[in-house]
Amino acid sequence: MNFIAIDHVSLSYGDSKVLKDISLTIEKGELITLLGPSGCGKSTLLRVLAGLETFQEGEIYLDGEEISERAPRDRNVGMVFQSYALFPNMTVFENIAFGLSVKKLSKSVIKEKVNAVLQLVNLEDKADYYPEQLSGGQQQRVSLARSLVIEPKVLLLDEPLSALDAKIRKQLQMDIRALQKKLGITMIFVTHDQEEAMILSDRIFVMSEGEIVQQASPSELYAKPKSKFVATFIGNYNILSADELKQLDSAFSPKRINNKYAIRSETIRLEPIPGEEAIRFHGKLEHTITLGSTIRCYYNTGSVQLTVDLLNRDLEKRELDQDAELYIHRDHIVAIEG
Amino acid sequence: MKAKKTHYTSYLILAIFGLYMLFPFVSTFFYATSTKWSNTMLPNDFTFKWFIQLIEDPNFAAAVIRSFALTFTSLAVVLVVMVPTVFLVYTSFPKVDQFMKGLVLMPYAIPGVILATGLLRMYSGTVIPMYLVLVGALFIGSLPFMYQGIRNSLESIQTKKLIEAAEILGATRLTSFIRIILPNIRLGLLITTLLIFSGFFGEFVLTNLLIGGRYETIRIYMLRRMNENGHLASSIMVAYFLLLIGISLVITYLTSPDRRGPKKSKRHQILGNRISIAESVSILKIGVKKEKRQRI
Ligand SMILES: Nc1ncnc2c1ncn2[C@@H]1O[C@H](COP(=O)(O)OP(=O)(O)OP(=O)(O)O)[C@@H](O)[C@H]1O
Ligand SMILES: [Mg+2]
Repeated sequence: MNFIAIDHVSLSYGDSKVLKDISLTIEKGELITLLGPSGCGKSTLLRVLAGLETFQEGEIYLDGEEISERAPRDRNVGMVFQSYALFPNMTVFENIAFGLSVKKLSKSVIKEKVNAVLQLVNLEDKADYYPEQLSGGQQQRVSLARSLVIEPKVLLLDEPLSALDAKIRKQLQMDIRALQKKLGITMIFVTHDQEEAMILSDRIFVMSEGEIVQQASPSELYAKPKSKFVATFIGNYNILSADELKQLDSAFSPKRINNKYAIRSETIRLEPIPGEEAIRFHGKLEHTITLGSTIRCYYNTGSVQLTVDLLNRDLEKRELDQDAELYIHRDHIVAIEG
Repeated sequence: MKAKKTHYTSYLILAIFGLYMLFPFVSTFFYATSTKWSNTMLPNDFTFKWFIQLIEDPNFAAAVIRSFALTFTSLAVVLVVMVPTVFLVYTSFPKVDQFMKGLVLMPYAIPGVILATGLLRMYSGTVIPMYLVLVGALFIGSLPFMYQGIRNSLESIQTKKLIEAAEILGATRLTSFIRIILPNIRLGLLITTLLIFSGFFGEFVLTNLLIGGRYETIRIYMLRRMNENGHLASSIMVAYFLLLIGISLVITYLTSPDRRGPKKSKRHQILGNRISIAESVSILKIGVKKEKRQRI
């Protein structure tokens, strides 16, 4: 029995279908992300799980129980919002204590539990502050603590880090992942940032227009995107048609006519690759962009323009308008759907 | 130099405007403090006797008490009914909310006199006492204000998000309303209430037509004494005006920008940011308009 199962869930607002027959399962203690572009239905799916949105078809199971019809407060889930949603009239301590106090726990138990999570999120010295007096990152940690203290079966996080600056975001990503492993809590994390998804998750569910188009571990997803959509969304891939690929690799014979092929930009190299399965072709360097540790080079092979990411060294090999020899291993050419 | 000049000009304009606004009040004040002021430039004397006479008049005290009684009953009814209603409509019935936004403007479309005449026809001779009819009419009259005022307060604190967060944490709708929403909209409510208070307190048309002499409120008392003695009426005017100024000052204080910013007492923080000055000014404007309308 899966810990969480979403079974053929569909949801529409009027005529527009926002979730289309979604099914997925999650194991206990997993951190999974829902990744997808704006408007694809990530938040809606999360809100369906929390009981904040009513849906038309399908069922949801949590820890062996059907919870589709239950009110949010009877589901035993926690939720962290992008906008924090802290209660402005309460101190940090009172905010965190809220979920326990509505369960009518005794004062001393509440105090003990709240202090424990405060320590967990490193905010012991801010217990008497009001949300307004905290930075965004601190507020989000309070929000996290407030959800953790009620010991939910699953913690839902809707783009919790999107409003924070890059440095704090990186730090909190690490913190959240560490906490999740330490407590063994199941988390569903929504983001539209593929890097964030890669860093955090055990598994990634890529969504597009109300559907889950691929589910895989971060490395698997990166190496083997299933479709053009996934390839362009999660990384910097060259997408080639069968004809274009044939121009580069004369020995290539397509298995299916309408397939496309994805080649990650960092798998194309300037040095020969040993072995039978390497192919070689020519290209002219048209322009470059320095990204930092890598340089993005645009080569024209005559039939197609290719993006190639090279480590930022070997200066002599990157003169513009020079003809260069390029190499790629056939294993790095991934067949994808349309 | 040039910048300074414009400075003076704007001060001058401001001063002229201030005088223009203050003049009626100041002259009323002097009229109220003189025994005779008819064909001279300045009043003949200065006395507080009208004020003393006013305070000593048991009818005046009674009128003030009646006005307060009427105002507080109406306010209590309005708040007890409207706050939970608007909360429910806003959080759970978005379609009704759209409808209500238009509906609550209806009282503006009906002039007070017509409303009063209609109410008289409808209810005189029934078992329902006119006092209740008046409270009901005031309730309706305050709707545009109340509905929008409460709604703005709810909107400004992100009520929907807070309720969702609270419910996921295990709270019922009622608990979230009492422990989270009410404390956070307290200031907005207070301001709306104060504005309506001054509206109710100075209400004349409806009160006069519906109950009139049988329930002499301060404004009706004022009208009666005005015909007897202008000086006395002026002193009432002054007292009444001071009360309104007092209320305005409280509102200005509550919404002043100095009160925002970090490191303030608990109460201040809750108030901070929640209501913009522009918002309160716009509420005030409606208040003034309403006042005028009722005087006509
Ligand atoms: N209450 C609503 N009524 C009608 N349509 C809605 C409503 N809420 C969401 N939608 C639509 O559902 C779709 C999915 O919305 P959702 O908020 O789930 O997207 P998302 O993937 O979370 O996007 P983002 O990354 O921008 O937060 C959107 O096209 C949106 O317009
Ligand atoms: Mg979203």
